[in-house]
Amino acid sequence: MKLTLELPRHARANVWLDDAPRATYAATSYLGRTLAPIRTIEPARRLAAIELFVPHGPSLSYALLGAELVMAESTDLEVSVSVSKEGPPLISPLTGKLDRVSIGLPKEFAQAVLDGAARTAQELGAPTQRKLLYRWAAHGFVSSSPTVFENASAMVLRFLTLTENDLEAQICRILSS
Amino acid sequence: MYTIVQIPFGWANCPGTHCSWLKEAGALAQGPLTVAGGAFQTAGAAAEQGIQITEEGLAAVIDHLAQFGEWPANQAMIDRLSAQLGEVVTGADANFYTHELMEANFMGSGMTYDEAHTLAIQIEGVSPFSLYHPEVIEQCPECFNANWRAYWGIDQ
Repeated sequence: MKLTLELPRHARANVWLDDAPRATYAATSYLGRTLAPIRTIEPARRLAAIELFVPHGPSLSYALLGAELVMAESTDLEVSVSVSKEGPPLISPLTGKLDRVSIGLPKEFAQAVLDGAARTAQELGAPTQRKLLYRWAAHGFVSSSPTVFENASAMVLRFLTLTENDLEAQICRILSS
Repeated sequence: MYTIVQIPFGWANCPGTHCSWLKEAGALAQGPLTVAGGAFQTAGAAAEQGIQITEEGLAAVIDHLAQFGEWPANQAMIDRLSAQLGEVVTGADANFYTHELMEANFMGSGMTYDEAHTLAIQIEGVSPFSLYHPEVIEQCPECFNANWRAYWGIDQ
């Protein structure tokens, strides 16, 4: 399932639930951390992703990030971020012609992805006894930053726990928070 | 030196569809800036020759940026411009200021953000990386990627 959303402040987003964007890549390395969430939230789905476009005036923020949740023996939440070199161009990114978007996640954003997951786990809670694998990504040559990847990561983890009730409203609340 | 003649809308006596916003202060009597292929030839002109920060212009920039919400790098640039009110600025300060005035004008006349941002960059003829001062890029590292630091020669 893919939702396309027009957001306040000229922003827009694509959200995938139980589905993945066409932005797979081969990892050259991994960055990982084990999180102990403030409380356990049962996962409602296995896959989630977001493509985010947020204008700031002279610049804009762009990120595409997706993750898969799989069972693990750990009692906590193990997070793994796939790092890559710059890949091929992403087809039809939300930036349009405003930036050049490539598939993959450069190392400079990997820590921010971990930080975003940690933020959600600490502030709201997250699934436990699971591995969270961030393995879909795309980034803009000009418009990507640690901030936008941290926010995207925090949102993806929240999407994985969304129930089916009033799904679009829940997503909009997350995107505007 | 360039100066803002009228802001943000209704810029007078310019031939472009969207670009009647800037005139060379010393060349007002000689007509507007050169037009070629429908676009002003102002590539980096404000950045190189300087533009005066006026109270009116700065207020228009702040008002325009408010619609996008908080972004630490924007606030840092506004702080820089506020500290130079009345002065002639060059480089990234001038690029940021003129870009935002143009973007505000274009969006005010009905363009989308994407259209206005693109056209403003085309008219300025500058790199998108040149719209923020290197000190701001160092001050707000979380807002920028390595390509920005490479452009400005900032150690990574």
